[in-house]
Amino acid sequence: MGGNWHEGAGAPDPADRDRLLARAVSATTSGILITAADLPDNPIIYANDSFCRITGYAPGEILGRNCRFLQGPGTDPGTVARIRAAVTEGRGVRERIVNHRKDGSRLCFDLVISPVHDAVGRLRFFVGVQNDVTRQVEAEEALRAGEARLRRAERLEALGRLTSGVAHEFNNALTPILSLTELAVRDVPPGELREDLEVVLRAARAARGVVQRLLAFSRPEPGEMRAVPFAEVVADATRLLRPGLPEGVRLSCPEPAGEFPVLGDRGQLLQLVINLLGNARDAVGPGPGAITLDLAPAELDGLGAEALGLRPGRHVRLDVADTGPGMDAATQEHIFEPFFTTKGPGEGTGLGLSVAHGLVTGHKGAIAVRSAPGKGTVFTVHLPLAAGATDGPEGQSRGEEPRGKETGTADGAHSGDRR
Amino acid sequence: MARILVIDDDELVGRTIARVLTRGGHEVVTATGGAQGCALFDAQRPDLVLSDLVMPEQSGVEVVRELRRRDPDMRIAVLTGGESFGVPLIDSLGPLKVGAILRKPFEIADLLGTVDALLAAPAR
Ligand SMILES: Cc1cc2nc3c(=O)[nH]c(=O)nc-3n(C[C@H](O)[C@H](O)[C@H](O)COP(=O)(O)O)c2cc1C
Ligand SMILES: Nc1ncnc2c1ncn2[C@@H]1O[C@H](COP(=O)(O)OP(=O)(O)OP(=O)(O)O)[C@@H](O)[C@H]1O
Ligand SMILES: [Mg+2]
Repeated sequence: MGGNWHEGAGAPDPADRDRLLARAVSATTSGILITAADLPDNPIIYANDSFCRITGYAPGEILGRNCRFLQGPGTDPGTVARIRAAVTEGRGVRERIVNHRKDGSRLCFDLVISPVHDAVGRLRFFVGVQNDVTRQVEAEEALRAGEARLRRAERLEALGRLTSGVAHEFNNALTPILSLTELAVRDVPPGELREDLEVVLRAARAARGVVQRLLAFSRPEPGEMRAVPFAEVVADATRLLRPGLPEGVRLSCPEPAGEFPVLGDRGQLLQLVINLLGNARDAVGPGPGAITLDLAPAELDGLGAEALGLRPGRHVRLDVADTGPGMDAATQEHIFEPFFTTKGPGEGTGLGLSVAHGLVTGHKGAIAVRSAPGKGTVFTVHLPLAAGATDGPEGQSRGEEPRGKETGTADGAHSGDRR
Repeated sequence: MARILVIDDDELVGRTIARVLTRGGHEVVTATGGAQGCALFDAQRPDLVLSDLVMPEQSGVEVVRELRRRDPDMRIAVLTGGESFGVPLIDSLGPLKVGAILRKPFEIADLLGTVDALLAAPAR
């Protein structure tokens, strides 16, 4: 027998040793099983109490069966194949395997199987030891998810640095192009030259529009900070989008359970919801299909907040779900990057979600996506609720000093004018 | 008709603004940095200053602070082409009593409108 006994005065005799070891097996918090290798399908002939406690099965539901009843949809077939090979060859094996408790919940085992032979070397039994490592596995998964989120955030920040630098240069370069062409158009008499200059002017204004969207991604303009009823913003966005929807597409937005005041810029928040709705509309296409909005309070505790990269506290959660084609993981990895689009030329510039990301971040919120090919898509936005929510829509604007008149926003974009 | 000092490190932008304002009937002097701007300010005593925000040697915020020391009541507007990443300069303008923030590139009407509105108001 393996293990080490102290030999000498007071050492237990062989019968006591077996009794003591049996007691150790029943007292340990690890699961311990014995299977009969020479019976058909290697059935369980012993299970300690810890095994029953961990898995939630009664002894009567276990004994006489093969252990594979613990496996389920979360179990990796490769792991099972390796165990099968070892058991078939009578070898020992150690694997981390995903099982399920009787109630269906996920159970991660560190499983060690060792063969037991009789005096003439014939394989008779297997002993299995199961340690419950579910908590460790969950912690590792959370860490990995956090790292992936951080990597994405770093990539977006690097892109933000790049785009804001480019945008700054272009805004300067566009200033003479736009203003001097405008002056020239006034001076030149009607004719071909003037028409040409007007084309230059239109192109310069279009370029300005693109640059502004880039800036919205990299660093949202400070804009206004007021308590904005987010429920109204969402209603406004649906009102704007609904008329353009094809017959077969249903847009539903259940009555929200409150105003959900969010500290921010109403124009920017509207832009955010419109960008998400626009993508959902494009995804559903001519239909039939559905776009479903949901607005609900979300109290984020430490763990929930950390998973989203947010501060704990009261938030509002907006879900924008569509029954469109969905996205694979590779696509999802890039959707928030500027100019990433799967839409044809002239149909999308790939700025909608990068702007949405910039706006959400500027409002100290988080945006996430859940999607799979053929399963539709859900975008989820979390925004912190305005503290106290005492000041209404006309609440105090940010900053002690009036910032003065702001002009020069292009193409009817929201201008933060507040003299 | 007013005398306007334009400070922008981008010479082409400075020339453009000068051209537009001159056509609008104003007299314009241009500088490409804070030091030159302050010297011109002392020499010319303009009615209004337009200063860029992001400049290599001295930021627009520093330039405005310098000008405020010389003349607490001067009419000042700030130009910006959008800021590079990092601490937003625009947020530190608050206490400097800047009359307007003009975003590049602007429409001529925006530039002239902003300038006229500032000139119409009494110097503070
Ligand atoms: C002693 C012993 C303990 C085992 N414990 C587990 C277990 O806890 N969880 C599990 O999924 N499989 C366990 N197995 C493996 C399954 O019984 C089986 O060998 C495995 O599913 C591969 O065979 P199969 O492909 O015929 O199912 C154990 C096997 C032995 C011999
Ligand atoms: N609801 C959705 N369903 C499926 N794919 C989506 C959805 N939303 C976004 N995507 C994918 O993400 C890409 C990027 O979206 P984004 O809004 O940034 O740009 P765009 O819609 O392509 O162009 P733009 O918004 O500038 O018009 C889309 O091209 C599409 O592939
Ligand atoms: Mg889009």
